[in-house]
Amino acid sequence: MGGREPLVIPDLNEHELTKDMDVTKAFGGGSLIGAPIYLKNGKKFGTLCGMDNNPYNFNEKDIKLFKSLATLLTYVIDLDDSYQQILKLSAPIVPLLQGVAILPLIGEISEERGDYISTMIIKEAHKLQLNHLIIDLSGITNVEREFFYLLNLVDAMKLLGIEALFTGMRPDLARKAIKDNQRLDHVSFFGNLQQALSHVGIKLTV
Amino acid sequence: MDMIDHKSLNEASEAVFQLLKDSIGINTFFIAKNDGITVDILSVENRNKILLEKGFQIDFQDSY
Repeated sequence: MGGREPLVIPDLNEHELTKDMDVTKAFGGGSLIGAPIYLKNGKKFGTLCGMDNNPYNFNEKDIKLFKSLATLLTYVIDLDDSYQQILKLSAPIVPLLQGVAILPLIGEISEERGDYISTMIIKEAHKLQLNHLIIDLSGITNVEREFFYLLNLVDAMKLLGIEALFTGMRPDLARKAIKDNQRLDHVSFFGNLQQALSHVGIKLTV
Repeated sequence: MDMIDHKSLNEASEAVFQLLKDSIGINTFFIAKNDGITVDILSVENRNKILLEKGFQIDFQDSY
């Protein structure tokens, strides 16, 4: 289906486009209406369709409704798209020196984002052949309980030969962790980035 | 095919199908994603008869 106008076929067995198609024969005829859904960038995403196995006379109002709803869906799809992009941008691993990288986490860590970050970190850290990854928490605004699963990353990374170090733990996060009885004895925390760097053997001279 | 999660679209489609069902007397409403190669049925609403199911995938060439 091409074009921006809805395709309307009251009777599949009569319409020039569809009467000889295998799918029409298999289906035994019927009716079809389809309004194209476009993305904001002008690319076609797909179609909002209606169909029946009986012929149906679509009136002007029906066609208009399909067209309007298809346009509305453009915005919804765009929202999904933007959210995915934000997820992808939300965990930037910054390589510092051979084998050492920093991951500054900012914003709100929801369960979904926490999951995404965990998967991404393991993949990236392995790809970059890291020995140490410093995860800075000071930019985090709000966390769900699930955030603390991020700390389980430490074990997964250990298996890959990577040491995870946390910096920038804030008092409110610390309180939450203790309240939730998180086991933290296997996780290395440092007060600031400088201390973490010096732990891995990097000295900053000013 | 890219792995974009259509969470909002899935939620919105329920309302869209309801509106269509209340206004137009045909059996099936659906949203199809079409990348020029395959057609993916992302969500479906059947009134009485199951004419189409979610997850159905066909070649672009064989589809309408």
